[in-house]
Amino acid sequence: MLVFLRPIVNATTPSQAAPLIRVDLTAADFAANWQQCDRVANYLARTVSSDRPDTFLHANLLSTALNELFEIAFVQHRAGGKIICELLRSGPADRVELTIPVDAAHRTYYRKQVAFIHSGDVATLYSTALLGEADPDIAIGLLELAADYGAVITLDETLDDAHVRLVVEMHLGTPAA
Amino acid sequence: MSTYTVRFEDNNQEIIFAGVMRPRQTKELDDVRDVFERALTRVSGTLNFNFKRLLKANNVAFQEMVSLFTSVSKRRPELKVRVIVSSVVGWAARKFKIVGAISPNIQVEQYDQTFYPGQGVLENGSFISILRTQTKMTWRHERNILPRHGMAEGKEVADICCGIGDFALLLHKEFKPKRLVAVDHAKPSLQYARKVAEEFGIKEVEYIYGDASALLLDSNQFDFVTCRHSLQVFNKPELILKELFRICKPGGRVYISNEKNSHCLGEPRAASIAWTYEEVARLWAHFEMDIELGPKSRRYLQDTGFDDIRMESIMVTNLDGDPKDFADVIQAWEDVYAGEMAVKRGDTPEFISRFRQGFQDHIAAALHPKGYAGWPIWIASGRKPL
Repeated sequence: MLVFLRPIVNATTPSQAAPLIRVDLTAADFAANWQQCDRVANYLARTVSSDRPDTFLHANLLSTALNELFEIAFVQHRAGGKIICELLRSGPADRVELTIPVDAAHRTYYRKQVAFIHSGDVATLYSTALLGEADPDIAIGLLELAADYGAVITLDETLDDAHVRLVVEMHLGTPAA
Repeated sequence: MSTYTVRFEDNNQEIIFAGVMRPRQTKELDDVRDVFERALTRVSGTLNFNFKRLLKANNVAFQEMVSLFTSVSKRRPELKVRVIVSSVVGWAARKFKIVGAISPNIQVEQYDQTFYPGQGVLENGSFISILRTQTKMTWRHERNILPRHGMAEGKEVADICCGIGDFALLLHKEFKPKRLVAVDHAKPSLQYARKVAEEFGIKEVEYIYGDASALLLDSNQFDFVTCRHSLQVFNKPELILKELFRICKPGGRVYISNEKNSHCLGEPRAASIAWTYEEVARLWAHFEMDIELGPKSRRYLQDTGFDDIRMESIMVTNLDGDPKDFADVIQAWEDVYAGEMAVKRGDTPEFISRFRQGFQDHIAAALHPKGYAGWPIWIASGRKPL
């Protein structure tokens, strides 16, 4: 089910991240089909990129980022509840807020992954995770967003016992085209 | 979600990826590994991985690629690996920059920066003002010519190699397209195009950064596709025509314009003018561009698969409007061709002096009260068969 909050607007100051669009996904339906990650990522990215200078490039980059987040949520969520994705904009920055239904184990997982991103030089952490002997965890997507897109990633655990919110803010850096 | 293709081409020793590659597990990419294994038995020297048409890929797919690169460096340490990405899709240049860490034999090459040998000069932002004047001069003719080639109100239009976007704006004003996408590969030009559109309050033109020979636009979506003065700038015009054909709807038309500079003319001082423009053609050929392409348009369109080909030529002259405009264009040509390209080719000062004289004589002809100066252009269009 899609819920539009309001039409696309431009916020101008960092403190005024303006909500652009929100999608509520029943976790069970979402997790029934891997293709949902790609479909929803593309839909959201195309919708909010329409007034960016290079719509195609911005949509493609945002879709890449969103897809990684959805793929993590696809694997790491508790049964029941809703996965909610809200996109906001603050000037050139895009902010993704992904609310995920979790149990205690999932909560620990997300806490650990986000803490790991902040545990050292992110480029080194990403390189080690990607090129090391062990198979990387699905959450390498988060590391990549931090390393390649300069994303600032935080975990909001203040919602309730049953949800966490991944907050990812990025300057997708559409080249000055 | 994976809707990709992968194939190996022997002639370029190249594994070519296209489409969207977002698998859940790497085992969904068994065909990639099969193609890779076959390629590995057939290549020597350099193995190319071409990702310029891979629109999207997730980290699962990327990990598989890293695994392939690692496999090459271990099993065939003598092989060089060239990873070709395009800046147009955005993600690839970011994602693949890390693979150089696997082995010094692996190099990532941003294809867009090396593909167009002669374009450095022409994509320079300083050329913008003269492009505007050129469009002003040619538009007087083209606004009447376009309907004869199928342009009409309410169509879905793409202007490929839109340059500074002024032609797209004129199309927008004159023909009110239902949709108008304008694509170019020169960032200064696009920046200018967006600025002008913004100043004019025009929001309906979508200016997109893209590579004309590997467009990421869907197939069969435009009624009318224009590509003006651009095939002559590329060393592989057939690749661009193939893309124009692909994005055009069956029954739609592709409209191209190109020059034959050696047919530029003027009176008086015709001989000097003619000599210089013959040399212009040679100069462009040196940089792998064909400024003589205009009359070849019919062949190019036929070879691409178009039918119902229509063709006509126009002579832009000093009598069309303000002769000073014509003179300004020629002066700009002299500045770029004699001042930059001939110097870059290593021409002697004597040659350059004579070369410049022909342009000055052309300008003199344009401004002479009894003079005549001309710049011929060939317009051609073809229909994509139903």
